[in-house]
Formats: sequence, structure tokens, C-alpha cells
Amino acid sequence: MQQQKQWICLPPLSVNYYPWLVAFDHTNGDQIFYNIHDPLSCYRCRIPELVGKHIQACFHGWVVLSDPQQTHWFLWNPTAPPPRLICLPRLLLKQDPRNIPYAFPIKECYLSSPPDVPGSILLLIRCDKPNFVLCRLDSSKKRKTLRWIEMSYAEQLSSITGYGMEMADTLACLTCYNGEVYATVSTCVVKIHIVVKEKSVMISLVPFVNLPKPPNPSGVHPSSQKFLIGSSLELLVIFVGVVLLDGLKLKPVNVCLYKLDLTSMVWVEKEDLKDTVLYVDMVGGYRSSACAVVSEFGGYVHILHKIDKVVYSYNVKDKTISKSFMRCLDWIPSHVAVWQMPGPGPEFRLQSDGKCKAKKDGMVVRSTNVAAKEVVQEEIVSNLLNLPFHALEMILEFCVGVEYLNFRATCKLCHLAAPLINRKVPQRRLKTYSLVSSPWLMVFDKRGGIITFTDPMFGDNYFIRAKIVSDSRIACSRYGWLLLLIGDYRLVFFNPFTSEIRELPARDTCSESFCFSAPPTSPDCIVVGFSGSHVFFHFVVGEPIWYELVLDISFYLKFPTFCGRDVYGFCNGGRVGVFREFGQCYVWEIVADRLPTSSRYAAVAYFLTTCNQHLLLLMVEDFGEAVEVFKLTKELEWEKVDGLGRLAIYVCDALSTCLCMAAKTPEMENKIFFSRLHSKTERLCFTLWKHACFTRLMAGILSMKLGWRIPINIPTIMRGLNQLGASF
Amino acid sequence: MSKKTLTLMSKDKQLFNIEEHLAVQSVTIRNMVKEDGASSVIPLPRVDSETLALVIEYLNRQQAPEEDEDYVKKFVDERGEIPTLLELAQAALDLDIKKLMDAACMKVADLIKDFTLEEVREALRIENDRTPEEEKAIRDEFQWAF
Repeated sequence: MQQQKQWICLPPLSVNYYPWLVAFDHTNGDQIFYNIHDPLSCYRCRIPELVGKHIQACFHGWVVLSDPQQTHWFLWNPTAPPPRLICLPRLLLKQDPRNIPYAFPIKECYLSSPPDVPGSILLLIRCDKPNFVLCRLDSSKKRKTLRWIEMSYAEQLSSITGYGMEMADTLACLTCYNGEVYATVSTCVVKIHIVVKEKSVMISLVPFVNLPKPPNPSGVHPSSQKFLIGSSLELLVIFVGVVLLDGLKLKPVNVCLYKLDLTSMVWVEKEDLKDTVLYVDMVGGYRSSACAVVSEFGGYVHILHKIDKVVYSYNVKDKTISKSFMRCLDWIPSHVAVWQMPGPGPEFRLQSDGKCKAKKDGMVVRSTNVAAKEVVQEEIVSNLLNLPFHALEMILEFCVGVEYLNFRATCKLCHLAAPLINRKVPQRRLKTYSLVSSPWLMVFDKRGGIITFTDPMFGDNYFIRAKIVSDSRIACSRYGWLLLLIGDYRLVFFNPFTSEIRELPARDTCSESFCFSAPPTSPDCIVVGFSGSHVFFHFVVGEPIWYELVLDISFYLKFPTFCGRDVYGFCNGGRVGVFREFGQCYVWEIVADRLPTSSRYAAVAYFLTTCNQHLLLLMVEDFGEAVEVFKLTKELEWEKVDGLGRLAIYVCDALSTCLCMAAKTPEMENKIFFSRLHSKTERLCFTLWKHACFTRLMAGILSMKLGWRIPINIPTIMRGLNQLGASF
Repeated sequence: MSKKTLTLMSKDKQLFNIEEHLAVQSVTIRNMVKEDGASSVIPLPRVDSETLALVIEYLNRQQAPEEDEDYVKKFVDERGEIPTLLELAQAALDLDIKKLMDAACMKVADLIKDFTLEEVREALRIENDRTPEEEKAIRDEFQWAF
């Protein structure tokens, strides 16, 4: 089984699907290869040529290396048979003693061609002064040894920017496009024209084109980082708008891509990268690279943030930014570079056979006891994290409610695998889970746009994110549909499980209370709203208009309640009236002149509901104290009901919602459920009425795991799900 | 006429034989068979022998379609330990056996149901890589859920 614990394996670098990132662990000389498409797989190996070095860039199949202090530079070709490593002379740069010395004096490099090609040079750009540093790589009779040459471009730059030489900036964003070298300075792009002669090298800067203006969308910090990226096909400019968090951390919030149209020399916004991915380094001296990859990974700008150990991935087409955590960066304070090599990588010469093995070419794959211990520990500590990301997502798909949030909160990787629920289809578990316990309690969290469903049977919470809830309130809820009032005048039907939205015609007056007769998918659906003595109604399959009835001003209607096609409602003076056969006849008929009274009650709330074509009236005294139920008889008298039998009634006071339906389990029979905020704990709980008295449930089948604090919520009761609601 | 047999190799180099008509329940294997006939050994570099044996057992005991759902549920129920299920989920993912993958993942989700945050970490052996500040931020964001 020791072999199973083998941690050291080699990256399939030759599979050129995507570029690899290489982190350098200088504590032991290892390199860690990883890519953001499979963040759970990383490959630790030790390649002697890379030990103690940083990868600066890759050109023409050659890797430009330096030591961390940038005094020793190397060119390494891992793919050539035999592999070659060229050691360049020591680079000793004089830094201005008046300035703070740079830890990394070189910020850019460029290899003009493979070292064997005549005229090949390695060009470096200094951070601290406008100087090129270059090394001619081709040998000649007169120039048998390699040496560094330094030359200033301050004067040329001054003539381009118009600033004095003292103010001369340094070139940045060195890149190669269509065989030419370009860089940025101030607000323009310059072409670096290199002419290599037998005895000399001439480098001239030619203004090429002005940079596009960085976007500054409202609300975004105006600071932005720019990157110039060239490829054989196009020249791109990327602006990464950043905000400063906590005064320290830079967070990208906006990305814009521009492509240079060579015919008009105008920058055009690029809408899609298709098969290309771009890498830019936010804290690495504006370094960037472009890579063509297979299509499924293309279309992204990956913004490396090595300090925070995250990668922000900007989807150019969707204009969205996602954040990935590079777990392997957590292990080490490391230098990170992009390994972007054509053709096969070095792995064809590497072996992982469980032993420390030196190959002929000097490459060593480390597999020491220390590593083996790390492996074992790794598997023990983090069993889950060995799972592919997709499997993790799958498990999370089956998690709902609090367990989902718990799982999501366990570690950063799980957080990534479980974005806050925003699914267009019901969660998989919800399709099969506890539907029989409908109706559910719904809570809108307007701040986060989250709907919380509570299963009244088991007390489980389920969450759905729906942006629409953030600026709406529930006007009525039936048949698995919500009638939402957005602002004062816009009404929509919303199905929270499918996210389907059905707009109703705009209204020019607001109503106080609403009801609807059938699901909006039904041709029988009528929406009715009461507003004082005015009645508004709309036929969902009819003309897109609202009809209005104006009753005598002495009537003040509220609480519309459908019973078949009849619409009941309260009327001022303690009366209850009805529109019989609404839609065919519009006569308001008083059916009860007065509400039943009880000497027991002081402050009473009334609710109407229907059951089996009977109209029921609930009298509730100051929630939590007492309740009575009455039935309207054929003689139009209120008859007190002593028991509900197999029925259960659900009441939500916030929106005067009251439902009566067959209990789903024997335990729920003959009970009345109230949703309410517990005044002391600020937690939502159900109270239960049974046999003419209230019992607040603290335990047992209806005790909720309702650890909710509800800052801006509107609780309501959801009447049935789509699958079940038709019978009510 | 004997049925054609395929050989699968686990990451610890153990070989398993399985009849082709059963093995092709795995979409991965089916595609390999389609492409090159899969005449040689099919390597499964991320599946260890213990897990591969389970997968083979699942594939060999394949039931009629109408009984399939109950069977796969029972199959994962019998292997109710989280580490085994995680391995099984990974193998099912690699081999693209959707029902087994779904069932294994669902079982894991079932097992961690009602767990607290700390219990989930312990059960799944997840190392908490959040700083106290990050942890607090998460808890603040969803304080009504914890």
C-alpha cells in the first residue's frame, strides 16, 4: 500500500491542454506544478536545473531562469536532445545609492530567438532606471565569451513622452507580437526595434499607438492595472480594475480587454477570447502571457494574486469573475511562474519509481522518506480534498439547507465547490425530499436575495437564491406560486423552484391585498386585488389589462379569499361578503353581518380560509394566547368548530395568509400552526394550537432547527408545491 | 461462443477481468472500446484495487433497469463509511458511471446531514484552512444558519 500513498507524480506537461503554473519551494528545492483547471492535482518534483531558481519567462522553447536575486541568469531548453543549460555571466548592476535598492532589479525579459540563431539576444529591462541590459548569445570569433551590455533609453523615451530625462519612466509590459517587440510607457505603446550587427546592437523606440483609456465604471475604484499581451495573431490590452480592501489587499472587480485593429489602429473591445487563456500577474511586475488551449478551458483571463494565494478568473464572454484558491500555494512562500512550453515537457525523462533516482541528464525526482510521510499525513488530514472538484460539487448538490452551508464553510475549497445557491432548477434533493410535508414556510432575506424554505414536518431548512426577492414582497402564495409585488405597482408570478417569472400588466394604483384563483399556468387563473372600495382583477389568459370595480364608498374590503370561483372578503363593520361566480358576475353580497364575538378576547385578529367549499373564520387573540375557529353555515351563521379532524391550519400573520388543508401526517392533524418571530431570541418558531389552547413547541416533531435571525424578512406560508398544490 | 473480457488495471497495478458487456456500463470504458477495441489492459491510474473491486462488484451485479435504482442505493448503503464512499465516488466519476456516482455522493450527503460545521470537518477529514477572521466573516454572513 505504500505505493498507493505515493504522492510524487509528474505533471503531464506534454499534454498541451493548458499552461501549468510552477511554484518554487525554496525550502527544499522542489517545484510544484499545478493548474487551475484541476486544483486538486498538483505535482511535486525536483528538477535540478530549476533548484534555487525562478522562471522568468518562456520563449522559443527556452526557459529564462534566474536566481532569486537576479544576479545569475540561465537559459534552459528542457526539450532539446540533449537538454541544454546555458549559464550567462554574473549580472552586477549598479543601483543608485540614493534610492532604496530593488530586491528584484529586473522586471522584464525577452529572448529574441533561440541562442544558436545569429543575432540572438536576451534583453532585460531594469526596474530602477530607463536602461536596457542585454546579452548577445551568438558567439563569434571576436566575441568568444558572453557579456552583459547596459544602455540607456532615457533620451528616446523623453522624446516620446515629452517629459524631461529626469522624469523618464521605465518600459513595462514587454511583449512580442507578430515578430516584433512592444512595451508600454505612460499612455502609449512603443515598438522596440532591435538591430543586431556584427559589433553592435542598436535598439530604438518607436511610438506605435496610444493605449485605450481605462474604463472607470461607477462604483469601481479608479485604480486599474494594465497589461499588454501579444501573440502571433493580435495585440491585446487588459485593464484590471482593482479595489483596495482593508487598505492592503487588491481585489480585481472589473476587467476590460481591447484588441488592436491594425487597419484603423484603433483599440476595439474584445468580447470573447474563445480558445485562448491569458495569465496576468497582479503582483509580479505586470507580467502576462497568452496561451492557446483546448476550447473547454479557453475564454478566461486568469489574474494571479500570489500574495493572497488566489486566482481570479475572468470569463470574457460572460463578464464574470470567479475566485479560485490555489491550495498548493498555501504550503510555501513561493515564486510562481507560468510554464508555457511548446511540445513535450521534461516529464518524458522523469520517472517516479518510489526511489530517489538520478537520471543521466541529471534530473532527479525526489521521493524521500520525508515526502512519503507528508503524503500519508496529507491523506489523513484531508481525505476529502483528494476528490476531484467535480465530485465535491456533486456531493454538495445533494446537500441542502444548513448542511449545505456547513459543508460550504468547512474550508476554502468547499466554498469554491459550493457557490451560494443560485440554481435554475430545483436542488436535486428537493426533487425527492419531504415534499409531502408541504406547505412550507418561506422566508425572504431581502439583503442577500435568499429564500429559505422550512419543512414543517422535519424542520429542515432549504435555501434558494433568487434576486427577485431583494426588492419585492409576497402579495399572495398558492399552488406553488408566489404573487410578488415589486414596488407599488408591478406584479409578477414567481415560481421559486423553477425561477419562472410571469409578468402581469402594469397597474397604476396600488392595492392592499391580493388573491388568485388558480396557478398562472391555468386558463382559470384570475388575480383579484382589494383596495378600499375598489376591486381590481385580471384574467391571466385574457387581455393584458386590469379591470376595476368600484363599490359604494361605504364598503372597505380586505382579505380576498377564493372559495371555488367565489371571492370572499372582510368588509368594514365586522361584515363578511362574497362575489359569487367571480368573472361572470360582479355583485358584492354581504353574507354575514357581524363577526362572532367572545368575551374572552381583547385584541383579536381575523383570518378567512376555505376548506371543502366551506368558509372558515379564525379569531386569534394577540398571537400566542387563544384562537377560535368558526364555520359559515348554510344559514349564514357562524358556527364554532370544536375540532379540525384530519385538517391542519397554517397561519402567517405578516401577510394575513391562512391555509386549511389535510394534515400530511397523523401528528399534524387537528392543529393550527403559526409562524412568528420569537420576540426574545429573534428566532422564527412555530406555535401550535390544539384543543382550544396554545402550546409553544420547543421539542418534538415540530421543533425547528430554526437558528434564524431575520434582519429584513417577510415570512409567509407557501401553499403547496407545484406537485401537490392543485388539490387546494 | 465465449463473451469478450476486458482487463482493468488499478493504480496499484492489480488486474481485474470483467466481461465487456458489463464493463461498458462505464461510459469511459465504452468510449475506449469504441475507439480502439480496448484490446489491451485499461489502466485506471486514480482507482486503487480495493475500490476497483467494489466497482467491478457493482458492474457484475447489474440488475434489470427497473430494479437498478434500488440496487445501487442498497449497494452504497452497505458501504456506508465515508472514506469508502469518497473513493467510490471518485472511481465512479473517472469511469463515468452516473448512477453509482450519484448514489455515492448522495450517501455522503446523507451521512453528514445534521452535522455541525466541526463535525463535517471531522467526518470528511477536512483541514480548516480559514483564518479566524475568515471564519468569523463566514459565520457573520450566515449567522442565521450556524
